[in-house]
Amino acid sequence: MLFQLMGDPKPTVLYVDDEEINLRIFKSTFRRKYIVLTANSAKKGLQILKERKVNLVITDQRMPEMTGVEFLKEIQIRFPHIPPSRLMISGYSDTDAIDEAFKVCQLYRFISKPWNAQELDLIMIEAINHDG
Amino acid sequence: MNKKVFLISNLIICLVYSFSSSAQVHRSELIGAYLYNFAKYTTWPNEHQLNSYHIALISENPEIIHEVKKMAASKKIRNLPIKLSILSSPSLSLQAQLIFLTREKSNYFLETFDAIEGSPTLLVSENFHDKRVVMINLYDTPDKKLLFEVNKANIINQNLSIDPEILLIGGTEIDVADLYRQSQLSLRSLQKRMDIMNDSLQLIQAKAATTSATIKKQQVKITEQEMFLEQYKEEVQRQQEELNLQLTEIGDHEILLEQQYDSILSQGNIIIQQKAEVEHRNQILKKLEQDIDDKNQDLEKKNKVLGDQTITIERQKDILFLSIAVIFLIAALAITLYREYRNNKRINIKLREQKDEIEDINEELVTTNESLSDTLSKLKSTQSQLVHSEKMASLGVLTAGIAHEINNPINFVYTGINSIRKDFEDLTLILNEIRNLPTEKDDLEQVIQKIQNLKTEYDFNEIIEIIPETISDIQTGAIRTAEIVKGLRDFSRIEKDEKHMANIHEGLESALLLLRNKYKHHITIERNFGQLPEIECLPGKLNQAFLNILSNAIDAIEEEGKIEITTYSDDDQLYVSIKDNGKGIPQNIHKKLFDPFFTTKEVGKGVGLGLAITFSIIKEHNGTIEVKSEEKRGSEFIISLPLRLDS
Repeated sequence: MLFQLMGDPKPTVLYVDDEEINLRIFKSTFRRKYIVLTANSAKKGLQILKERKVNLVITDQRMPEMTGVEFLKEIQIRFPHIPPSRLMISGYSDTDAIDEAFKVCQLYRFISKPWNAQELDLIMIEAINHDG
Repeated sequence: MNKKVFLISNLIICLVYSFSSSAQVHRSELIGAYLYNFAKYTTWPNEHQLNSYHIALISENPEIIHEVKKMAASKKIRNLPIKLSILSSPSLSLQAQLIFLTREKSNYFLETFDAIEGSPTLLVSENFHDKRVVMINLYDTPDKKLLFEVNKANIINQNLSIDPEILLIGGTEIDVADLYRQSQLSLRSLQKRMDIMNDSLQLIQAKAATTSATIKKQQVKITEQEMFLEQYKEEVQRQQEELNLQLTEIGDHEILLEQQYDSILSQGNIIIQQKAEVEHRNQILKKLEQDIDDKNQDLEKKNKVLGDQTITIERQKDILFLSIAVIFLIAALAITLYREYRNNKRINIKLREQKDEIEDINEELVTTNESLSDTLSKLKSTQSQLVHSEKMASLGVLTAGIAHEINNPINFVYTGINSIRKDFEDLTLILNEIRNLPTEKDDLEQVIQKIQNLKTEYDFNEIIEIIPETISDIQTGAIRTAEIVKGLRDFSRIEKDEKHMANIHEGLESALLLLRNKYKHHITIERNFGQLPEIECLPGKLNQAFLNILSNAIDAIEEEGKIEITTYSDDDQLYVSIKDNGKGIPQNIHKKLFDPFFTTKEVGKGVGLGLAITFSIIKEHNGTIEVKSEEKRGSEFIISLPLRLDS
């Protein structure tokens, strides 16, 4: 809301998930209100963060090579100066990892799959405003 | 040179003596020569302090004494004279340089040997049997030669040194090693004999133990019987006392009878007196004629009465004897009856006791049985609880994967529909314009322009591109969800306990589907499926078995890896091989793999029943399970199942 009120351009959202379909659907759902960047692995997500200014990071937890929590930790280490909001979306995750993410990685909210587009939209705006 | 000449001369002496006919005399001469040579070839540590060599001859053989005396008087050893002492026992000889104990004094040998041990004295013996303790021993050969043997060890022990050339004059060296071996052998045989004796002793002991046990048993029996006898004796005594009592009663009766008899007799006497009186009176009455008849009549009457009385007395006597006999009979009868009754009673009591005992034992057995079946049912329920908990545990491990696996495709559907709805809303705006197309041409152009604007505003071209994609994504989500649900349903056939025809490949696929989340990122699954007929089985259970093995294979692969699943069959069996290239199983736990509660996983990651359950499932299908594994190379589990359950 604030962005729109202030006449800002669309906020940029980075969504990381190893499932291509999730990325596609997310993009087609939110393309109207957000600039949606997607990556099918944490590694590619880090690459994008290096190149682009991002307002919000959303990540899946269960991914090969690097899990969502590991990805968020890596962001803390590599880009300590930028404080993007962090959301996590996952079908299932052990609570220990999530607790750690909340404590260490500035996780704003955990959302479980399947997500509701309207609710997710509200949470995304909330998270961006909370941060910015 | 001198030495050699001397040696040769000695040898000649030996030979000459040994072939000579008067052997006994020459033998003594030879002994003298030997003794001289023994002294000559021996070096004493203290000999530089000596002024003579002391030889002690302990002997009672006059010829030897004579010859040695001759030798001592004529010879010198290293220019010193020989001092000879001839003794009958060794007690005074202990300071001598050489002691010679002849054959008949051999009984002193050991005593002497011990007494001089370690001191510089050479002990020479004659025909001594124990070579272990001799120093130099002279002995006769069967062909009547006199030779000697040297036990160097004992000589060295005396601090004496002996020139090895001594052997050239007719000596041999005693092989100490051989002696040792012999003694070891004899020791060993003694030991064996002792072992055998020990064994037989143990046998005898065992026998004695059994015998004493039987004796004890018999003693117990004897004491029982003694007690019984004791009781019986008491019984007999009591009966005897009773009998005595009855006898005394009978005696009393007899006395009474005698008294009665006496009184009868005395009455008889009185009657006789009265009779005499009557006769006397008859005489008087005869004179008194008037009274005679009356008195006669009276007398007759009295006589008659008297006769009656005697008859009754006789009868009473008979009755008395009879009653005594009857009493005896009755008493004897009573005693036998009583004894019989007592015996019966005792046997009855014993029988009742035995019956009670048996009843007690029966009761105990019943309670034991009850507690056993109680324990059994408890064990059974514990077992089924454990099996159930393992199932739950493996399901629990799966839940996380399944939840993630199922929520993704659902998300496709859920969000995809939402996305299409929005796209459609946008499209509707444009479509509405098209639907309400005006008829006027001017207006038409205006509307077309409006539509063009809307198209740009809502990214019409993008929407047209996205919609088919989204639809196929939704389809993918729906198909994948359906597959997972089918997999779960196949897996949960566990609950059915009826065997029916099923395809093994389907079971493997449903297990793989449930595990997909555990392996999809780092493990390739290679399926080498052969042609398999359907088999009669419990598919749910088999699926659980496959899932357990596959799950272990996945856990064994730490980084990138491969699992090969191969199936094939022959005439009677089908085979499922699940082979991974993971870390393998250490050799030392191969045997424990199928043991219940054996696990290599950390606490909370499985209770160690997975393979135990797998094993029992395969066994239930009359199948076998074989494991080949090599550390760091991987493991292979080969399950074989009969094509027909009855075979």
